[in-house]
Amino acid sequence: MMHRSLLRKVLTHALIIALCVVILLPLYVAITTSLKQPSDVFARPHKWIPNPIHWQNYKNAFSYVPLGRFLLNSVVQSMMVTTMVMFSSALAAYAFSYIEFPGKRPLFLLILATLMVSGEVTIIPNFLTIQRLGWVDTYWGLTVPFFAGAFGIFLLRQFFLQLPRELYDAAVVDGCGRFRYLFEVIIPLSRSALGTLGVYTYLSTWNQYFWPLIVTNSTQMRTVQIGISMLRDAEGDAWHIIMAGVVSVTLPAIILFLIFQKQLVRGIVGGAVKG
Amino acid sequence: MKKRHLILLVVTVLLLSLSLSAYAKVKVEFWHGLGGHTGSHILQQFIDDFNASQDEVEVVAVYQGNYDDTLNKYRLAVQAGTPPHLVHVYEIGTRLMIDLDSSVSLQPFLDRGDLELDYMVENVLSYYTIDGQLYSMPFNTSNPIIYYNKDMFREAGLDPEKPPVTFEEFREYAKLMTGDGKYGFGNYAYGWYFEQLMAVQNAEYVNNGNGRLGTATEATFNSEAGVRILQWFADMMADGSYLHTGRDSGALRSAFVSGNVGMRLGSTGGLASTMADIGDRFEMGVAFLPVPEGMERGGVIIGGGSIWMAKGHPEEEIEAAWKFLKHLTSPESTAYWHVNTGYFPIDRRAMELDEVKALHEEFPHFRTAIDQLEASQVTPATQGAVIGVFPEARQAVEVAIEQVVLGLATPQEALDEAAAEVTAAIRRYNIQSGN
Amino acid sequence: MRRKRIRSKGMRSLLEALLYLAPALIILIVFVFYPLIRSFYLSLFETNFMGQPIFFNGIEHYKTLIRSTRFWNSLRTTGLYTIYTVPVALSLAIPIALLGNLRIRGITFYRTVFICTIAVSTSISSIIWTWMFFPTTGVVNDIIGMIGIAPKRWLQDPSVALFAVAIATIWKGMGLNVLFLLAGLQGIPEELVEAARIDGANGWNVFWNITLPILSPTIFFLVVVGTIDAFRSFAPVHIMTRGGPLRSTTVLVYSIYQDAFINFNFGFASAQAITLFLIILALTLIQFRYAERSVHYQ
Repeated sequence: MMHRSLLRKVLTHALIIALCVVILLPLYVAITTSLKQPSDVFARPHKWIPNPIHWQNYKNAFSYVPLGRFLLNSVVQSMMVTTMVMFSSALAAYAFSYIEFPGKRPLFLLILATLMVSGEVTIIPNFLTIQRLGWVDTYWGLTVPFFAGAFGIFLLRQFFLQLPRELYDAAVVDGCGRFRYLFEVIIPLSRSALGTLGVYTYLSTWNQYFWPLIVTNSTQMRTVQIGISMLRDAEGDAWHIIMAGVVSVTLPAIILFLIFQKQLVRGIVGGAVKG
Repeated sequence: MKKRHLILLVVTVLLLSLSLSAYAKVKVEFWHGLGGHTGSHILQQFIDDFNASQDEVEVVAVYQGNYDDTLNKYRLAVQAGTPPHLVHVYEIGTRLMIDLDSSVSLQPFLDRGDLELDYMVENVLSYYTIDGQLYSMPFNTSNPIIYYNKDMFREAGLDPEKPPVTFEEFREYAKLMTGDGKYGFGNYAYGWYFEQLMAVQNAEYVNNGNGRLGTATEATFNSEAGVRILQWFADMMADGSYLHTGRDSGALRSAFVSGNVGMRLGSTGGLASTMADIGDRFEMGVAFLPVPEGMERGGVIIGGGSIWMAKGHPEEEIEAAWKFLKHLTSPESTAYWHVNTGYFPIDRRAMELDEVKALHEEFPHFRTAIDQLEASQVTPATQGAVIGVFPEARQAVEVAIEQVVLGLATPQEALDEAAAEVTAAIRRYNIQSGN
Repeated sequence: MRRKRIRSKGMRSLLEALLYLAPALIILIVFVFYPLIRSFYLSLFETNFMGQPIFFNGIEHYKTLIRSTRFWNSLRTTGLYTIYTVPVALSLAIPIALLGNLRIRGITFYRTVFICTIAVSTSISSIIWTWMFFPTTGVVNDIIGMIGIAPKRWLQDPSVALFAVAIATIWKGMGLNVLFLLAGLQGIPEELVEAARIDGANGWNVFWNITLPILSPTIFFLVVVGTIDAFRSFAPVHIMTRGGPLRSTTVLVYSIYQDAFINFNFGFASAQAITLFLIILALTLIQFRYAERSVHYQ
């Protein structure tokens, strides 16, 4: 009996460790490649451990491209979009879940329909709009088109609908205005849904490539994803330098994740409303 | 005493900055598509040197993504009325750029006798000269050559100093070098090589003199010459000596520099970086592209890109941009590009410069591309096709290559399909452009 | 009289609702609806290289589209890619999340590893996997070679290329999936599991009857965002295969990109985009009608 449970424990650990190895492998490969001297990058058989360690790659990556500046731009961009999406979605979702108004259902469906409209479709008209607004090469141009989206409205509406209604009726009769009710009751109760939306929005903004490329003109306004593509060379990629760039922009994100991991999970679990 | 010094210093700085602002340099924005070491280091160094060398023009070079991205960004900027002064466009975008009608022809500048292009390599000049006008300034200019692994030649009992000259020899050598996880020939589906191997046979890609005598209306690359190329690929595939790396040049490069591939086709623009990647793993040689047996060699088409000057900027800025373009074509500038990358020295006088001579002495590889281009006849076939839908045509040809090397179609079938597609695209283009 | 009152009440509530909707609506109208209408308009025209209409073409582009095998192919590819990156990815992520939820030594560390790919961006994961998939020097072939499997042409063979692209996406998406599933698992009341155990339920019963129903809102959420991401996927294809080999990885968004930004055929690209929009609209409506019902909310 004892024996069996021990075996089980060992097997579980072995399985988990194997999984960890698989998941970490790409990152390991990126890190080791970033530390190889150029002539070792393509060595056969594959060199699993870089020797000698070639820090120069990092120096080169940073001298080619202002990666620090790009990181800053990406953070500003993602923060702005996340904040505004949470704000606009909460307001709109509130209207869709708590106010009865004519045309509510068709309007909601219309918005829902845009859930998967891809950026490639809207890019040319949107660029011209941004240009007319004089926002090319600014944070506004980078972010404003994404200040609202069907996804956030949908997600929060679903959540708001589950919240207990009795309170609402009481509060509105009570003279506690709708607006105050949203901020004093609904939003605190919806931390988990807002957290979820925030995480998702932040990540998808961070991942954008095509729009930031189109709407920024100067190196100073570029974001991380473009920065990495700048390290690529049509006449032959220097993989050790590309990987140095890859690691340089991913490492801060991972460290940030490690620091905020607890808050992240708590944010998503939230003050978990049990309805 | 100290205070006096300080005041003096402040006054000097003030005066200096005043005088500098009086002589404010004219800013020229230059959008380019060169990433990595080439863009961030070699080009940037070149621009910095130019800016420091005079006090009239300040060029600001900005990377705008790869060639496709750069062209798109430029197109949008033109539409929005805010184009940069100069934009770097790949060679196959030439027709489209002319039809966009958003740039200034360089011919008037040349006609006023501002710049002598007598020394510019003829093939380069003729590529960008359409209907007797030079529309854009040739910039990074490359050629395809064979890169080969001399060590693998030796192991296969071949003479490393005698690279293959004909398609048939090439196939033979490739077979000899194959085995043990190694391949005699490595290639990726890339339309440019196909275009080059057409030019080698002096065969045209589209009708109407490759689109140079009149607007092209039909693709003609599904000719005997075209089929011969794909058949050659198919034969090597059947021999098991052909490593196909998809559409990814990076995968091919890794296979070659790691010593797994005996021969590959490649651009001279990557010569310097390939040599760096190989290090002392093996000895590399380069050679002319092969020709089918018994055929007279046509030649090669230049590749790379040129720089266009956008319309709608004040006279003063246009002149400043022109100054930079002039600088670009000087023997010293083209020598700099050649030595650092392997791109072609487009001004022949560059060959007389010490740094170029020294380079050729040490690495004769750099010389090969130049000789190959000089050995080229100048015919519409080697001047290169002029069509607006070149990127689309390349895709179609790349699919045809894939079909053949994957054994899904015969060369003739695959090329017929691709040609039909390209012809349809050309027709659509001609409607779009009103030609 | 009464009707009038109702109407005025309706108007008042509409006005109030609009006040709340204003920020979102303004953005959506300017940056989503207007471009969509514009695309629809363009899809009826032949366009010049600037993407401006030159002459009316009616539904000609749509006719070409319906007839084009390439369009149907890219639609199929999109569907297949969605299957790889949503159901397949989730059926990998659920067991991993369950492992991450075990109370064993070192679990905090393991959990961190399971989630860490959340910090990797799409283009970066595509670049790393491209490098790992290289046919002769890639580590993937090295590793499968160690266990005696013949090397594969991951990104060169049309029968596996889409799957290989999906692997990169699955890897990258693992972090987000596991993070949300773990959060969802926190919501399972311990007492419930204990009680079930005492009643003699085995691990499988517990998973099927307790864990899965409680996870269902989380899974539904992940299916929705996964599908959105799959349908919008551009970077992985662009970076890893450029749509090849033989268009085997040309998802519809990539085909739209090629027509609009490489071939400068904006009218046709717009027609594809509008068709995609309509298909997704239909799917969304169906999905929500059915999926919403079967989701268990606590």
